[in-house]
Amino acid sequence: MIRFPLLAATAVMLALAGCGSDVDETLTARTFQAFGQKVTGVGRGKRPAPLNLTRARLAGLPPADLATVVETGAEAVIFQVGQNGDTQTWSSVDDKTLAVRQGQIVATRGLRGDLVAADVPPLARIASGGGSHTRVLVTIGDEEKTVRSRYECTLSVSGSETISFVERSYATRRVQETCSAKDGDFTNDYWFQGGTLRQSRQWLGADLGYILLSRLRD
Amino acid sequence: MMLSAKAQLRRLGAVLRPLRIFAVAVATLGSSQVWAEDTGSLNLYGATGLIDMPSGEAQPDGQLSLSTSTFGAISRTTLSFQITPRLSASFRFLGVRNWNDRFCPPDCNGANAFATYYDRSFDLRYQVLKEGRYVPAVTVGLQDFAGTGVLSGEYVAATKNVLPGVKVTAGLGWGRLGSFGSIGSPFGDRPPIVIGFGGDFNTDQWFRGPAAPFAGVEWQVNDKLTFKAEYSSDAYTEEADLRGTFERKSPLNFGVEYQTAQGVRLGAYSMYGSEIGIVAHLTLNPRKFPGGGPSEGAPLPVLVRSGGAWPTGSVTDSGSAAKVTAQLATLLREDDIRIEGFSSDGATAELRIRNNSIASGPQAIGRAARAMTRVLPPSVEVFRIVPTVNGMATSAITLRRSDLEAEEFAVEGAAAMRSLSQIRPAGSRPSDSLRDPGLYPAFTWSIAPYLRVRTFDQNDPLKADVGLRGTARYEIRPGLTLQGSVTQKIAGDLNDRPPLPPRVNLQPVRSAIYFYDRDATTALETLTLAWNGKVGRDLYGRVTVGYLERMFGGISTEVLWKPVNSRLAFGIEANYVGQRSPKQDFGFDLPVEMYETDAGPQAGPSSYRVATGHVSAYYQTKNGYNLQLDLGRYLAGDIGATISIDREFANGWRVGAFATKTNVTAEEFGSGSFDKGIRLEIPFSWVLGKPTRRTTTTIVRPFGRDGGARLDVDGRLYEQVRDYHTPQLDRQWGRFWK
Repeated sequence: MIRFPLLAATAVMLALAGCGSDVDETLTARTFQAFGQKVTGVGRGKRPAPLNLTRARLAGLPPADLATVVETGAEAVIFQVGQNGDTQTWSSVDDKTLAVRQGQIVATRGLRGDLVAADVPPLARIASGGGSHTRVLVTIGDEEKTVRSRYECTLSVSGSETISFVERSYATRRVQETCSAKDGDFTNDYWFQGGTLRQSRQWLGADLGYILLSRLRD
Repeated sequence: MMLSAKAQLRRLGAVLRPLRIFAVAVATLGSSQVWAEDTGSLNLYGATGLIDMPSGEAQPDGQLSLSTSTFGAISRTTLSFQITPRLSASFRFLGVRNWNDRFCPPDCNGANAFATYYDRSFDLRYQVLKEGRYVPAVTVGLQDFAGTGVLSGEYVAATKNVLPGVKVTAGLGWGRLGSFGSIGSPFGDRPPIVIGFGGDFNTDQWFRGPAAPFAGVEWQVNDKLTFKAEYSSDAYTEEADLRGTFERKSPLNFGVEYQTAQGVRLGAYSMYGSEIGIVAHLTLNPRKFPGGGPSEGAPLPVLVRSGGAWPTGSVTDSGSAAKVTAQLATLLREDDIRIEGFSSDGATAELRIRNNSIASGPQAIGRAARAMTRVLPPSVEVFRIVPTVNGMATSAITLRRSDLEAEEFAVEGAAAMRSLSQIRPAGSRPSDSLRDPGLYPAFTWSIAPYLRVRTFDQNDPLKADVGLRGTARYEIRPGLTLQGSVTQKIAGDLNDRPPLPPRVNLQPVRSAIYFYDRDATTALETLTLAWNGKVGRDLYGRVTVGYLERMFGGISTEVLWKPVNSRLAFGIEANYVGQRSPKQDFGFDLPVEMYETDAGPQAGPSSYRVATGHVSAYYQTKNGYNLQLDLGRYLAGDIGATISIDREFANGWRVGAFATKTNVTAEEFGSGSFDKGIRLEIPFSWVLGKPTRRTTTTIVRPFGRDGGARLDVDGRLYEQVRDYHTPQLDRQWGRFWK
């Protein structure tokens, strides 16, 4: 049987991940740590502190929007860093990006269970608040294969709503998009202020869940 | 302008530092989903089943589980793998305490020599029928089908869901599974087992002798809670009746199981009317990447030429090319991709990259291509990206820039890029190709803890040493590397002497490992100079000289033929090595005490040199298996062949088995008759959720002896080059735009 001092020494050694310029060589110990955390649950479930963003802090910055991962509550201010046709790429300062087409997220990068690509309807159709359409989400599934999920969606107007974020309130009309497929259902919400999509809550697949996109720009 | 988007954001980062939490929070998201889907359930043998009995079900394809259970004097630790949707295998360590209490003293010979009896066993099971509306799931299984056969038994088990959450199992067992409540011997008598040196298939025993029925019911109350009850057909004749390690009062077992998140399942049972049994199962499925992928920075977006802000200028003069090379190096350093070469004729640009950390080759290629769109003048339409490994150009992926612009956010963007690009053999490096000037020579080092284990030496299931390992690596120029590692043991019990069974004729090329563990508190583990290079269009070469591994030093050479688009490869490896001194200093002198066995001191040569080498054939199948056949001369001078089969998952997991048969007789080989084992390779990116190409490999040999032993040299060519060849690139292509 393994004696206690050996066990203790092992624990201490593995707690010290190691050092040096060759990071790969220290991975074994890091793996033990990660494994330990996964099994014991240490370090899981911590919710990030809210941003407490103010208009004053936004002043002087380039035009920005606010993205929130609903499940974790993680928030980030995002800035436009790219444009390809009708799709803009927005990035947080810590290098996570959202590709947005007509207000709808068609790809994410750097968020692990990323939305690889999406096929979305024109925003005007969503703004109309009626009718049905298909929405396609592409993610990476088992064996690194891309999985294409096709959802049948219907639109409905759920009425007027005043929403507020970062010190401002907006009178909006809320449109709900209910989508279903064999592998699950979800509901996206869109808050239109006149013709402007002021806020939306969009489903991006099982790994990511919902992202809340709030338009800070005027 | 767009080139500096990241730089701009970085400046914003200073203003917005409190906002930098997106990554942290997201990293924990979804990580709980990987550990297991519905695992069905496993039994105390770590195989799919009830409590002590098997069932007709199977695990999800690719499922890997580690189970440890104990009841009474009996402990079992099992690794199980669902090889295909229908076929699964288990490898198990068994320990029975109080084994010789009734006999020793006075009789302490033979099996009675052990206070705790340890053994290992292999199981195989095949699901012949999947459950249908009326048809039950039916599985045929062989338990402990090779070797000493202490656990051996065969069964046919059927399981049917009868009510929501309730399933019933009934089966018929032979061997130990037919030892209680027998209904006769339908296929004749069971001949006595011929153990010999163990490790052979006991085919003439299978499904022979008395058969007995077993049955059970399982009620899954909800996602977390399951109740089980069974009637066991195992009499525990040896453990209970003969040796009295526990009392078997009843054939009925029942208990409860609790499924936690994270793929951990715990169970507690009443066993055979007299004992409490407990079990813990850890399950995971390598098919899926935890959380969807490693946590990493986003790629740079494609910079579209019609966007107005494209770079101007030329790349055909050396000054501009040097500037472009520096810009590319800056952009790609974020992803730890290094520029081994850049050249352009104004219409085509070739970028040679070294991908240091991204596990998926296509992802690294996709990121390199996007960086190119940001710095190359609009006239450059064709991008040729050449991934290099250790100075070897592995392939050339040709992409059109207008395709990159058009497909970046297309729904089928990755598949489109694959069909619009070509993967060809890499040409030789253009003479005007520029390298990131900071790349060579490169020096890296590390100091990190190590853990070295010895499993199952017959006295103990597990012994271990821990210590510190220092490594240094000096890359002199592409493909030429000087590297070394030293270890310092801090604590451990590998210097406890295991049984040293006598050996016949063979040099102790591996069985003397105990002396290497014992005699080197401070050890020069490796010190090598290695050269890698292309020696032809589809030919790769390697020469490694120095202290190649803990037990051998010398020269190792290898040539590999592996066409870019081929699933087949051939290799030749030739080595001339000497056995290192157990002290693991610079010497090759072998002390006579190293030849000692339990029979006493033995004679042996004071030095040992051997020419060893193989010709190898490799084949990567379309459905994710890698086959390898090696023919040649092994370290002890024996001649023979090794066959290996690995199931390879697209994210880098590998689970496989190998067997080696050489002209060493079973008697010369000793326990186990011939060399064989199982192998598990785990990508660190999967466990850590961080981008790294490093993997760790664990090999479990039930009997590690001297026959069929191979040199353990680093950097064999096949595994180095094939990641960027078509079969492997195609498997991971879904990450091109990641």
